[in-house]
Amino acid sequence: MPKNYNETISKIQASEELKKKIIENMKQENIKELNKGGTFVKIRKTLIAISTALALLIGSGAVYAAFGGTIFGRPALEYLGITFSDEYEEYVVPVENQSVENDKVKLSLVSTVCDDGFIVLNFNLKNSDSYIASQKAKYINKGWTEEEFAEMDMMEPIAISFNDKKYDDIDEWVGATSSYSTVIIDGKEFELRGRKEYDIQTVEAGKEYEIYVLYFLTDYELEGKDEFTLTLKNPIIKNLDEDFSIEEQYIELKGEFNIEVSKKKAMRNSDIVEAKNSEIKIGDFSDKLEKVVLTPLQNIIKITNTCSNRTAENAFSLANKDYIGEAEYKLFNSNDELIPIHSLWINIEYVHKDGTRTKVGPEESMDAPDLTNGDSVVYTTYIIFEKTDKNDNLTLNVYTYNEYLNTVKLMGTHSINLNKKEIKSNALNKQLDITTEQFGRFEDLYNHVTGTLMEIEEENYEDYEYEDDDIVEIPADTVVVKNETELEKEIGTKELYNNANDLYNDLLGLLFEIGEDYEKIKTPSGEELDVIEILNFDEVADKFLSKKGKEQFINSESSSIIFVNNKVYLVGAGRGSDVSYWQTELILDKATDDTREYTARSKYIEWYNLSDEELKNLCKNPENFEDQFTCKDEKFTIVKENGNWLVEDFTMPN
Amino acid sequence: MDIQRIEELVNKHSNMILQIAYQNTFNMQEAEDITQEVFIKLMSNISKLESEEHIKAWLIRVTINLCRDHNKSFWNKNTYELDEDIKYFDKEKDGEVLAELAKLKPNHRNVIYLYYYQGYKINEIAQILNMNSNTVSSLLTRARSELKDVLTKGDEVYA
Repeated sequence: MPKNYNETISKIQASEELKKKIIENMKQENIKELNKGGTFVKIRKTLIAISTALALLIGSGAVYAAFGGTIFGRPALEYLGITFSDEYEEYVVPVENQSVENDKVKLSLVSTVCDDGFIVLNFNLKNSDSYIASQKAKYINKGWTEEEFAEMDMMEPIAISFNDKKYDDIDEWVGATSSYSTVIIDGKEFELRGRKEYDIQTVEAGKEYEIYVLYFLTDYELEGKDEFTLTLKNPIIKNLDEDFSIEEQYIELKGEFNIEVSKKKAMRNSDIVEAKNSEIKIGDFSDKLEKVVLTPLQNIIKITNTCSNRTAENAFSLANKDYIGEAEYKLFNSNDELIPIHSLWINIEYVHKDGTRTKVGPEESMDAPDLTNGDSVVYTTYIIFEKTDKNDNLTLNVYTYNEYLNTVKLMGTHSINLNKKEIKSNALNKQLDITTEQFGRFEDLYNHVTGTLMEIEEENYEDYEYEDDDIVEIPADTVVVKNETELEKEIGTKELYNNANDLYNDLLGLLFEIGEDYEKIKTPSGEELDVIEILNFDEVADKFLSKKGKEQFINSESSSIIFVNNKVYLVGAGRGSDVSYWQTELILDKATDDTREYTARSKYIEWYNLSDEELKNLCKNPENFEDQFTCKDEKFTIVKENGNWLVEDFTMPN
Repeated sequence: MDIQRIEELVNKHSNMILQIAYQNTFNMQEAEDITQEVFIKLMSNISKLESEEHIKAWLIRVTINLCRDHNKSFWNKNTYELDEDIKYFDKEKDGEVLAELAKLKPNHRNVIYLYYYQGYKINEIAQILNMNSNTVSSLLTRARSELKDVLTKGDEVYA
């Protein structure tokens, strides 16, 4: 632990005087809230925070954060709403003689725990002495001391995965930290998204760690089996530090674990509450509680939520007023206290009118799904929560919210009597007296907070003084001059290139004022497009483009600008940009008094994969990277009109 | 909310909030003001927060945001004046730590605090700060690299 830092920070303590002041202020605030006609109490019962897994699935922040405590012998995943009962250890099955190693690490499978809905694998990771020594040497080479290296525990792993590709389709490392994971069950591969969690605990800093991997496995993968073989191949372990190259950050092991798993013991000691008449149905929305499984370690609710009369337009479009979307859930015990839950989409299907089904999630596909002749969307969800009192009466509230209309509705409740093993469902369709901003979904709260943060960041961006070594910027001069020709010598390099250089840069950074919203228009050819009007095209374009150039620019594919019914529009979101674009050279091909033709040679390099040192070198000495650039040539022509040099031929470099 | 619960929350979290606020403002008076403001905000939001862990994460986020609100020239703060807050610290020992901390960007400081002082893991920090885990790793790497001299020196330096 960093002693000095911790000692200093520990000295920052709230005085008794400050605490008293705070408490007094909070009491006053409490009185104000209570005086709001009782709505404070009502909101307490009905506000929702989206569960962690759902938030993770749709890419936003999570609900919980652990106190950082660890419980040896089991994964510490309370921050995800996953809490195991005290019976956990009774279901641990030790495993022997299963390990994979190389000269750096040894990964051994220690035990498994299998219950209905999930499996936990406990691995032990040991770093070899030679690996520790070599890593230490690298850090010392970077100026660290041995004590610093040990104290910061630079050998700690950060993530682990199995069966996964090293690279994804865009050639990036995804491996250990990917939200996708692949499991092999009885020889069959299943891709799971958002259904793997892991926890890494330190046994001996630098040398040994316990790694817990949890997979949520459902009937979709197990197909009713209580016993199966789980195969995990070729582990990838991500190291903590990113000061090194990508190859050095990941440890790839060759080998596999074949694990015989049984959940029979857990199932023998489980109770099932079958559901009858457990559907909430309101208009196009229905929510059916299929069953509640009370396992020794956890409780699991299985739910199917169906949205009918769905089409390609309203099925998944948040901006559509008819969008219903998936249900969201909140669970209460008989004391009306909120119970933390972990909610998982297991399956999302788009049902067509002819009864066929297209899987649309939660795993994403590179291909756009077929959404023609739609009928409904079906969400299958597992809700996992900590074991409760067996005599408890639980209430599962079901909500929907519509972003377009900014409304939140309590669609109904499922009452679950664990003692009698009965479920009763009530449809309510009650619009709540809160907007989506007050909805209390943790995701929304974070988004609101993040938005404010980003505004402040942007506001202060220009004020921020970067230190010299802080950020390396791509050079502002886009155009370079090469190989001075006779013509260049005659006319003057500066004269020949400066105008062209400036105009090229101006066009690269061309910004238009646009209208407020997208609209649909039909082109003369009958094509329907989503467009947004450009309000000042002439004013901007006339500064840089010749008459002919303006016409060519509008119709150029690279600019995404079209001219319809006397208006100028931007199609879609405008051009995307290739992040690897670096620089353009202008090479003079021909020059007359009023025309100059150039070849615009645009260069591309994956500068973002370079280390800071290499990037600095690239900026200062690009000639050292010539063999790494990819080049693309386009025509660039400037003409003199009314005494001004304007652009006639131009293609956006990316 | 009853008075007992209020006191419990204040006793549990006031140090943490003050520590975050101080590391973002380097002014104890401002940090105390922010701490008070955070708890006031908690009163109108507590019903949305599901658990103790949730409350803690929420408090961390809101504290960081209020620090940014409070100090518009926050980004320019790269100097540190200990004298105003001397009663809390040892000038020689703590001064160096705080001076080095002040040179870091706020995001780096916050990540260092959450990782080393609060003991959060990288993916937990990512969730609290609504960042990508890799981003948090990068911030931590850079901050540690810059701070290692200060973070790890033992008492012998000051003997």
